[in-house]
Amino acid sequence: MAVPAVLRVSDFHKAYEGVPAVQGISFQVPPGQIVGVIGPNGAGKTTTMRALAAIIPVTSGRLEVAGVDVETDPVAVKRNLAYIADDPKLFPHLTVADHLAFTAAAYKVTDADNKAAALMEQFQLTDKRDTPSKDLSRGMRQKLAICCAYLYDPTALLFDEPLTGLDPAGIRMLKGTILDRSEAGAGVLISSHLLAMVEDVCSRILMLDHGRQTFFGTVNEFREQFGAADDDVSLEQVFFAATQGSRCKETSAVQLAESC
Amino acid sequence: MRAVILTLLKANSSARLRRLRGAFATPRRCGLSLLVILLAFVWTGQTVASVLFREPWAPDEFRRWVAVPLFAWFMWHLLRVAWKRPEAAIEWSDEEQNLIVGGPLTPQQQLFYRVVVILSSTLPKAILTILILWPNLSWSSPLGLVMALIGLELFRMVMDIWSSCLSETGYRAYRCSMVVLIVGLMFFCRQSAVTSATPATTAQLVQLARSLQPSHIVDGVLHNPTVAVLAMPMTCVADVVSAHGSVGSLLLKCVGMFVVLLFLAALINRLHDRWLRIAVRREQEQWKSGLKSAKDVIDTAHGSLHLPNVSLAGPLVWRQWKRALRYRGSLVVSMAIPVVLLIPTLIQVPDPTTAFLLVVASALFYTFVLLPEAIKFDFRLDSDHLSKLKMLPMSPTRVVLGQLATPILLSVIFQVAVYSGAGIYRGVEPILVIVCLGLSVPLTILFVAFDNLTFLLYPQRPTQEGFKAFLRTILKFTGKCVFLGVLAGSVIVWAPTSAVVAELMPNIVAVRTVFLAGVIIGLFGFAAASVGSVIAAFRRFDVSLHTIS
Repeated sequence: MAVPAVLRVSDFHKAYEGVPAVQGISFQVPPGQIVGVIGPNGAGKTTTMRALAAIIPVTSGRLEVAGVDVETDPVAVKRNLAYIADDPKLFPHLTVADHLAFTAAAYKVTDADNKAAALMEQFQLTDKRDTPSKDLSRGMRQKLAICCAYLYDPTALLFDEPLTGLDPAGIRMLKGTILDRSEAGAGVLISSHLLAMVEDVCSRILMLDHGRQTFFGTVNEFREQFGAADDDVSLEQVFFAATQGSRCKETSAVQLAESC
Repeated sequence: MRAVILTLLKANSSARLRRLRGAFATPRRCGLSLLVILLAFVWTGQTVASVLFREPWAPDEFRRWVAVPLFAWFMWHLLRVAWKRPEAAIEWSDEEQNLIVGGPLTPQQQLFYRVVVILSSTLPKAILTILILWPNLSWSSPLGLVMALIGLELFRMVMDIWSSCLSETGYRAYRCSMVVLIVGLMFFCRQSAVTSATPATTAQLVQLARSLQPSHIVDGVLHNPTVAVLAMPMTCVADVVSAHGSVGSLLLKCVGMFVVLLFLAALINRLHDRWLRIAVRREQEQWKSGLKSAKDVIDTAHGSLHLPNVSLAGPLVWRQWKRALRYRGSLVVSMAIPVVLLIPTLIQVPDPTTAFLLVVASALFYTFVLLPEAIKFDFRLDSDHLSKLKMLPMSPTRVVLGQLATPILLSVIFQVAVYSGAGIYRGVEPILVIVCLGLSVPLTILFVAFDNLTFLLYPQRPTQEGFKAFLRTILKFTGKCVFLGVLAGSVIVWAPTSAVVAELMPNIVAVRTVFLAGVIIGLFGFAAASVGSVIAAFRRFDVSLHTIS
């Protein structure tokens, strides 16, 4: 019997005031898989994530999280999903501990004290527990947002530029926790411009360009499709080939890299 | 001055125009904007027509009335910083922080930019004022008005920077002195009005209302020695605006006003320099104390973690309540002032029921007009967190109820305290207190819900100023008037109906009981409908379409 996908997107369209932002995206993320969403600015990555998180309404198409339709039961979807934005908007006057308490109450987390203590220790926030979020640095705020997301053990994790503001130790630790969560069965979607990171942790790639899906498959398939079967060519070079490909299809990744 | 500042100011103007065009971008926005503009035309047109076609006031009366709003504005700037201290001497937006503060500009150039931005809004205000006062104006009036308004804006900046420079103790002392000043002034004002006629019966209330002539109160206030000293510069401005005196003396006063403006500008510059030094010193002190407290935390951090207990009130109510507690000082002041002002009425009006009803009416009026601005612990202060609220695993109903609970609860606490206190002091029937609360609670819910509904339909930041904020205020004001009109109409229709209903149940229930029960149930119905509208608005609210500028 096939395992149901954690995230399933079918023919998703989104328009802002009549202007199409996303046009006909379809993909799915099975449990334990990490999908990297890549694409130039304005490609529709954040829009897709926000629609999956039930923050913005869907223009057309069907989005499901753990088998639940985003449009018909958004509350159930939100209970199973965590969306970590690139610039998380925390409540400025709540402390680190307050944020975790708020999240625990909102998501009805059992044994929140111990889980919160462990997460704060892991993300080096223990000595900041009584600091209001407005007084935290950019990276600390990002860590707090991740702690809040991990506190209720969501089935689906959506990361939008998760490494912004994190220090090297934080980046390494976040990568580790993403892999751990994935191994535990969570479906993960990561939007990032840091292609080395995508290459490190993602098993599949979803590429968007101008709101359209231009590729969805494994990293190896991505290399093959855009003309760089050679493992020595970095994902960044392949990406350039893929995004420029529509304009000059003949230019291979290697040629492009050489021309740089 | 760098050319970059001019370029930035030009870009700001273009951005404002673009935002204005954005108000017509979608059918919904266009509809709302057109409605607001129509209302603005109606209200402003009525005002302008009533101004232009009115008889000019007597010169002395005009002079007195020019001084009063200027004095009130001046007092507002004095009190505003006592009410809420600015977080920084100059509150830059994030964009300004990056471009202006982070740019290669000297503190003086940054200050110049700020002054120009603030003064650019003075010109439209001056034009509007000139239009309103048109029938009474003479040659020196526009000059006097423009200089007065510029002076007040500069004074505002002085107060902002100066209060930021104060130490905690200094600021507390300033706050106390302002509370004493304003309570004293208002007490004096109220005392003079109440002693002029103390109604013993409801019929005598009409006499009291007639005795509360604005000119009588203004005279009383302006003849108070403290006010006379504080308002002296304003009477000088009023002389210029009303062309009171010879040409020579008017010119001299104009020169005097100009010198005051230069003095204020120099004071701003000096205070700003001082603020910069103080800011550096505070940073250093914070750093030292931060190192110490960080060490303390690390020492105690290994104990078990106990998160605050949120489940009792629900996370949203708990969060808003925590935010409200942060402003407890301002909240206590904003609730204590009306209580103090109501004491003479409560003591001096002979009839207990009349005294109690006067207190209830005043407290209710205050709850709807001024108090809501002090207790915006709902959607209105969450313009940056609407995405987060949308993300919570709660139904829109739970989110809205959680968001609205705190301001409603605070208002009701205020009403219960005032009504019960007044009722016990004057020994009125407990049922009267309960009925008054029964009427006040749904009205409070109604108005809080209405404010939030307006916000969700037309979101804006709490500190936003300018044309759009003006239009929005008109929309809210009209909406509240319409609401009250509908409520009053419903009560009028219900009055004869309740008599008919009571006749159907003779010897069981009195007409008055049926009437009151109907009004209270009806008000709760309206309140529930308004909360329902907020829930619907939040459910439909699309964070991707609302860019809050």
